[in-house]
Amino acid sequence: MVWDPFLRLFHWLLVVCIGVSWGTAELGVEYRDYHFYSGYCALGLVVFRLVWGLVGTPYARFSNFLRGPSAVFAYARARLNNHAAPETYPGHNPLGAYAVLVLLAWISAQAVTGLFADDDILYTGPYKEAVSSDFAAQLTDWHHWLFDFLLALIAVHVISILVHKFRFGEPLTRAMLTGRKQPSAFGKFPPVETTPWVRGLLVIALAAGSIWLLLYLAPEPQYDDYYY
Amino acid sequence: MSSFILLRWGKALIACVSGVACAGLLTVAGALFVSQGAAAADAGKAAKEAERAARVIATRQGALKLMGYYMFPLGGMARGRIPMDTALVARNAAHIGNLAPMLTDTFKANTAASGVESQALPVIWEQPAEFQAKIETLIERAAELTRVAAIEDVEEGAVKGAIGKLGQACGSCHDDFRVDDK
Repeated sequence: MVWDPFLRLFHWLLVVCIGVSWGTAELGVEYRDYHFYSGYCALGLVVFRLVWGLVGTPYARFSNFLRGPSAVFAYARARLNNHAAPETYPGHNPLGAYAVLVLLAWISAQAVTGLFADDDILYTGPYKEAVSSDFAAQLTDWHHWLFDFLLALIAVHVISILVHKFRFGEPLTRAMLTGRKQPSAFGKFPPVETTPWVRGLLVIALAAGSIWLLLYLAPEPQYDDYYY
Repeated sequence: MSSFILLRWGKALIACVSGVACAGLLTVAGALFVSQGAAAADAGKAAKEAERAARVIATRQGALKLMGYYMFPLGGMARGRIPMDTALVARNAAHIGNLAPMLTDTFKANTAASGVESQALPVIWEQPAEFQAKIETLIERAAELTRVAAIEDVEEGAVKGAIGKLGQACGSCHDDFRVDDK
């Protein structure tokens, strides 16, 4: 096993969250509540992934897959020339690792700008009151255009997965579904044998708790003499 | 005698030449003055047009801001952040319904080419019937909310639903006729 169940659940829930967020944004204001919940979930998932990158199973850790530029260029050059990868990478390859980071960063920016967004009608993000209205309007714009680029990034991600499947014969989607890769994919590295269930559940609780705290601490809009 | 004639011709020649030169200069200066004046008048007219556009844009933004003002507590009630006050909802919905026709008036002037910055999309004046239909929907939804909120012992859910419907009317016009990014 390379991907533990928590990491796989994280990945596919994030896919669901992005889909739901997109759909509820397009459908209009009557679905805005669900858009908010979906955004909070996405943010919680990102928090989970960041912590899991520090304390998770070996191949989920940043220390395992973040490598220096020389490894990235060596990998990219080999693959562009249609050679095998210079080394065995059971987890993320050096180039894909940065794709993971960019996607995570982009999705957090997407979710965080949403916390400050304002639709000028009924809904404001929970932290809209924490900044000036001008800045909130600016962040609302960013929230909109960040998504256009997020779609492009997701397209690059999916195309890369297809290239790995059909050009390099690596079934990465199956690995993300089952968690397993062929023994040849591990080379000299050991597979993950056991799932740290307790640790995983604790990190989930931590991520959920941090989102709860974030929303609990959100400044309420003032409904006072200005509006009555 | 001959020298006297020569002198007279000479004087006449000088007078002629200087006269022509003066007239020419005057003509050129006059032409310049008139054309400059016309350009200045044009610039003044354009500035006046921009000022008129800026004024009507500020006025329609005022109407929209008032709608936002009356909508704000309704949003708080619809989302359960503040207690439902049906009397206030009915009053605010009526105000919004009264403001809505002012959009028809203040959007009549086509300010798309005025150069004055606003979030109004040119499509407002390319599809006036569609734009007006949005305003009619807004008026209907505001009237419906006023009616629902005034019902005695009305269920909160019904009022929240009608607030949501009114919000949708706002949003659907913003989607089609307003610049998304400021």
